[in-house]
Amino acid sequence: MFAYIIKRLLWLIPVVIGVSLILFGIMQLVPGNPAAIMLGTNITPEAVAALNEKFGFNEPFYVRYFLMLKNFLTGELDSIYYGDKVINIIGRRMTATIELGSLSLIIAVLIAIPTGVIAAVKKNSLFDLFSMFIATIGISVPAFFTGIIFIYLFSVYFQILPSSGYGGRFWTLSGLRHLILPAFSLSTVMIASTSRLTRSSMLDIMKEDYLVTARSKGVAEKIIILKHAFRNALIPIITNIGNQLAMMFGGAILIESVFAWPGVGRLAVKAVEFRDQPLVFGSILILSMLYVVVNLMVDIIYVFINPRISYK
Amino acid sequence: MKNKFLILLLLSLFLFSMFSAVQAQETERFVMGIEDEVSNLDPGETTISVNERVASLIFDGLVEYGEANKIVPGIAEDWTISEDGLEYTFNLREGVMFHNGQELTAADVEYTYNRILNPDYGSGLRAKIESIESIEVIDDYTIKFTLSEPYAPFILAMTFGIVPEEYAEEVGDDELGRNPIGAGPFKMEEWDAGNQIILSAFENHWNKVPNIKELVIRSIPESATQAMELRSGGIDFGVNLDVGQLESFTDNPDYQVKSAAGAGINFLGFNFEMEPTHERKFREAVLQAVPFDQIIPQIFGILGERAYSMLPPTIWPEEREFLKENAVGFDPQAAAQKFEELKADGVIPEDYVAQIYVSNSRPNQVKTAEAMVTALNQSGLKAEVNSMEFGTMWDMLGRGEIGMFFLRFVSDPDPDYWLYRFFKSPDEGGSLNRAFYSDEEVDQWLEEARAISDQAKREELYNKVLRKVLIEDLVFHPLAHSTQIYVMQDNVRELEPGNSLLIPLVTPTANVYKE
Amino acid sequence: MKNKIILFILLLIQIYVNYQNWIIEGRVWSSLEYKFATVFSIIVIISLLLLLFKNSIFLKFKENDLYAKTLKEFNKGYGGKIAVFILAFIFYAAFMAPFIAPYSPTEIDYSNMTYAAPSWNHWFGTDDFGRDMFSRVIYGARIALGVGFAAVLVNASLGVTLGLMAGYYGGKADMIIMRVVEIWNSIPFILLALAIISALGKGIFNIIIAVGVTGLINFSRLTRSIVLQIKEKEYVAAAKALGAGDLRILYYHILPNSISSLIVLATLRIGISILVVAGLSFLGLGIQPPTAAWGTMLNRGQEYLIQAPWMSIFPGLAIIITVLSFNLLGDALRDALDPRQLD
Repeated sequence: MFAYIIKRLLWLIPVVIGVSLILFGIMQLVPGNPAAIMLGTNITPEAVAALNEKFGFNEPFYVRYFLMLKNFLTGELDSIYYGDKVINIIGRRMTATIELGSLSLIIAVLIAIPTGVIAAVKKNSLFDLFSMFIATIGISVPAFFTGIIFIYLFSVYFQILPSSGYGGRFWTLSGLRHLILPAFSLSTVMIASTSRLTRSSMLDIMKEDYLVTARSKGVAEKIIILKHAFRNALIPIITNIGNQLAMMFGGAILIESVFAWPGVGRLAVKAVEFRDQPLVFGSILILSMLYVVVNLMVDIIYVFINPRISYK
Repeated sequence: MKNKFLILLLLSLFLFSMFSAVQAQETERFVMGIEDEVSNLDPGETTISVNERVASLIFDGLVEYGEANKIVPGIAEDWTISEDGLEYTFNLREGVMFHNGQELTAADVEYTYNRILNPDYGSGLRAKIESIESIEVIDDYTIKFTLSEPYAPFILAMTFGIVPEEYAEEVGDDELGRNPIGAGPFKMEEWDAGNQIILSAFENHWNKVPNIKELVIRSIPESATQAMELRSGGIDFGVNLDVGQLESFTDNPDYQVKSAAGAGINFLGFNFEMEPTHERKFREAVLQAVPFDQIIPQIFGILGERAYSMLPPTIWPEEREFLKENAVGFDPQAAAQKFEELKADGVIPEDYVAQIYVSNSRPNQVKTAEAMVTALNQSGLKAEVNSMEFGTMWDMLGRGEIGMFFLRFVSDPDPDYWLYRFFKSPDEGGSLNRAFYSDEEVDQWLEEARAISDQAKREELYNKVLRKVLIEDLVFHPLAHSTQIYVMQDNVRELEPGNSLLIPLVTPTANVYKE
Repeated sequence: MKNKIILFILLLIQIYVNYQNWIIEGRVWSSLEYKFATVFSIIVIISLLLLLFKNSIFLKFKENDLYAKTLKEFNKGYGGKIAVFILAFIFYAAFMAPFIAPYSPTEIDYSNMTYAAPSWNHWFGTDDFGRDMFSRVIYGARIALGVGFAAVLVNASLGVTLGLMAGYYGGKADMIIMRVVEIWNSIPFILLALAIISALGKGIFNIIIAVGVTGLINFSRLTRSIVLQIKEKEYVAAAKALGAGDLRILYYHILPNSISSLIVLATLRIGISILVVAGLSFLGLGIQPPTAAWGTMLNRGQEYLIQAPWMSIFPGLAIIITVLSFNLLGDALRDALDPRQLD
């Protein structure tokens, strides 16, 4: 197990190299000189030259790539727009992103799995039909649209939750209040898709022979469902959550924009907009690494649940 | 059972506090929504308007803008300008304090301006004070600037925020931008990057102690979100609302909507080095094809006023009448005919699609471009909107790759700032001349006008320039003067938008408070 | 009999639409969009006529075993049928837009550029330029479907090629290809699309490319796993023994066997692509105005959410209904085309 985790963590190395190459390549295609963009209407040739010199834009591209990668790894990368170390800028926003992501994930799991299980157990009941109908719509709604509707309903109409911004760490009251709407908006897609999958995999498992046998032996229905069926159904559910994470990482960027959430996703969008190459490089690389780490965590949970799979 | 009851009680308490209505905020705390994220508060690097907006609250300059953009004393009590317009001597007030308790002296002023003048520092403000030849500290409270040539708008550059020399030297430029210390009415308390900046009232300010004790500046880029925040009471004041949202506030008694004319000019420009925009006939046809007089008021609404001059309405309004009467009017038949002729002459190539470039952070310009494209298509010229980030567009403009473009320009109230850099030949100081327009006469007038201080003579020269570039040569077509619109809760007092982008929370005439 | 009456009514409607456009308005062949609409209406009329009077042609399909089985499975639930019905409607709107939209989607009445609530003349109201929202929503269907299909085509052809190569050649090639795809996938797709669009510039083709190259992992993983299953089958080994080339084996043996799973995935991906384009439009990188596109309209409507909610509700609903239909269709197809049955 330990060796497996180490091996998976080592995977981060090719990811960093690969993603950095891709990003650097795309950035070379992006038209526009960051120095000129930064100076805007106050542009003078000397100022452009000074900035170009400062950020090394005059070097050949391979030198720039290695410089950028080296600076990223040592934390020395400087943002053009913010005039600060990329690592500091990202560091200040990381908590907001992680809080939003984890709460959405928790909400999604806490709502989706019970809903799916109940829907499967009470197949064709009113609850089943209704929840699955909602879930099917849920996967079809753009997350940012959900966000706008939530703001309108809960902040403007009912005035019970703040409409945007970051209110502090999640354990403070104001922090949690600010977190609720974005977290729910972000989790809708995952709730919808996970509850549908939970239902269908529960239904598949409940048809299996050994459960029928258990039932005929007089094991209580509750125990059958929770102990046997659910445990086995979890495997595809976890796989699905792993797959959904990519969607969630993408959706988070839109949700952060809707709710003016000070996260890394919005920072990355801004960096692309301002052609702040070092910041684009740093922020997207960090998000990609985060994605790999979260996926690793999902895989580890997977191993715990499914001891039949052995990892060498 | 008892446990269950307790849990239920706690849970309901928790839920109650979670979802209780947004509390009314204390009157000494003022929350303000701005349109973008602040990146750096170094007053020497405030080329980005949000940075400037916030930095101006923390730093004070030698002089300030008073009512109607008149220059009034700031840290400098009074000043004298020598006969030849080359020497500016300022007398500073005594006892002006920085936030860290040090006194502001002439040495700090000297340091501030030398810092900006240093080419290695790369400040965008440098262009405004390039004419400085030397700075001389006469005593602790007297400083003299000597110019190499007379430059009428020089006094406007004296509004730059003064930084404390000792502190700036000690911590360096980067740190100054993050933990600014100035002599302005507010001092930095907390900066939660990307989210909000909290400032507090500076009790030892040389002029006024702000009524607002805690100022929260939140960056809310989505204007829809900002409107929602105003409605839900999350912010007291917002500056970034689009026309659509504004309409819903103007007739609502719970909000005040205030406007001030002329913070900037929106205009359409043509490239003089590209086919077919360098043909006057083509430019005229484009202007004739689009009913700007009809679409501008409907698109800009209260956010803008139809413009006929490049200068803001507060500067020399008489000339605007002449420019208005002589502007190219809407005439779709004539336009269609001209396009036909130009196509027949081969000036417009067979597969030509006119690209109208516009910055995507200016929703009104994007809409104008959209309506313009529709009108051009109807007149027989294929056209497309190309909206992109301002930075990229500006860079492309600089390389002369754009034929038709929308821009907005904001500057300080002197015609030189508005005209010189746009219409002076590119290689003779026209640093913003993205039309690549070059005319000897215009060059000469512009050069002459910046060197004299006689208002009447300057006016005459600038009017000549305007008539030549806007009417005769059709370099730019002014669209609208953007209006500054402030939307605030109804209990906010004394907050009146000024003519610049700066937010006048504490000025010689006002000190904002909440009832 | 009931079916025949419905078909007959549809035929009458279609003929009426064409009469109005062809004869009265004279819109037949003068522009590309009229050409599309004209060809499409002829196809619709012919197929309606055939269904009415020469039903026997379609019997051939019904006799096909596989088809009948699939159809039976497909008809089991309501979801698939509803989806087919709605999608047919959307496709019809997309192709026939210039014939059925009551107003031009772009033309502006310069004297009256303001929004108006839904009314008899403007079923979905008008937008802030006074343009008819109903017409714009209909025209928007073309962009949504066009970009959705094209992006998935790009996505599928890249993903399938990579998956085929990885699965078929195995070993080092497999490892390298799948690792690269995984690395590609670890970049959040919205940011990847954003970066690509800022590199290539805006415009429909660049959006298609940007959306098409994200999420490659779905197609390549699926194809690879199918290939790995089929590769061991006897007939592939036999073909190999007979000296069939790699390409031949891939084309004749492996691709046909993976097609049903691919169709299901593609259907689901179309929905996702439409959502991604809407998301990009929200960030201002979608289809450029004045072209009527749902995402762009939704983004614009946000500004007027309070005074003119119809400006966001109708394009929003159009997106939701279309994506929903593709999802329902995908689910139904998955049940109907269950690979285990086809084996």
